[in-house]
Amino acid sequence: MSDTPITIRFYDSLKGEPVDALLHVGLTEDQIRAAQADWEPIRKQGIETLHRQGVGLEALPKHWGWDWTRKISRLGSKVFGFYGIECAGQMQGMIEVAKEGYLAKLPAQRGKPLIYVRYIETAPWNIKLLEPKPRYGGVGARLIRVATELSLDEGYKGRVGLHSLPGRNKGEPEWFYENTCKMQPIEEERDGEGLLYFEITPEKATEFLKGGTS
Amino acid sequence: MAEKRTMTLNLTDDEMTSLETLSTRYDMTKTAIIRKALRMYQVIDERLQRGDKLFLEDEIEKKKSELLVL
Repeated sequence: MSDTPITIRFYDSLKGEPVDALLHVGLTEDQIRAAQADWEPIRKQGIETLHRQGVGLEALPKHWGWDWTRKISRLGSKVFGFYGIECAGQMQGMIEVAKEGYLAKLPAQRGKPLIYVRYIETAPWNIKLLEPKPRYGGVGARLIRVATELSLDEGYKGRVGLHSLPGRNKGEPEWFYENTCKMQPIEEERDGEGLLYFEITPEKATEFLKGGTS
Repeated sequence: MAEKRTMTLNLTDDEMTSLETLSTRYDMTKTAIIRKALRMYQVIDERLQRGDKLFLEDEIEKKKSELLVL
């Protein structure tokens, strides 16, 4: 199930100007299969390139092992939502969220419903580890913005939670969620794999949306 | 994100009190509570139509009770 895509503006560093991109509200099986097929060879190539450059396995993006086609069974669900940003005919990033089943854990928000980000990934060619000046920067932040806007639309006041892949250095996931997305880490809420939990309050969500890309 | 339509909802005092209680507890508007309830009803109904059953479990007492949904 997918709605009509929304046109958004994205900065194209190759052209040096903002360009139109499509925000897909609800993805189709074909779109997910196409994105996976586009991303997978670049991920593999990236692993080989970085390995040759002496980058250790531990420094590689952990989401490079994800297979988005395994999430297709949840398409059309009323509880889960899939969104993607398409630019220049290719998917630049995708996110899967849960609209039900998760409650806020921050003391002042505890027990209130939120949007939980299950998976979020930027196309491998937009990752600075592979490409220091990616053509489309800020895809991850735009996808978190989508989750935040969905939270407002659902009446959850902007509350969003997620478990982050590891990495506290600048540009890595935990740094990104805390500094770019204004989310607060909660050490006690790590998941079974030890992933750190982050959550954004309604106040910080407003701040994040004001500062984000349109 | 999706387009919304408006309708008038007639509730008894008790129903309105319940809605207001939920609205306060979860810090959501009454409309958002109704939309959320409708979605959960749809999700549960889909499962029941497939022949699944809905149970509530008391973890402490280790008791399970089947919930009937009309």
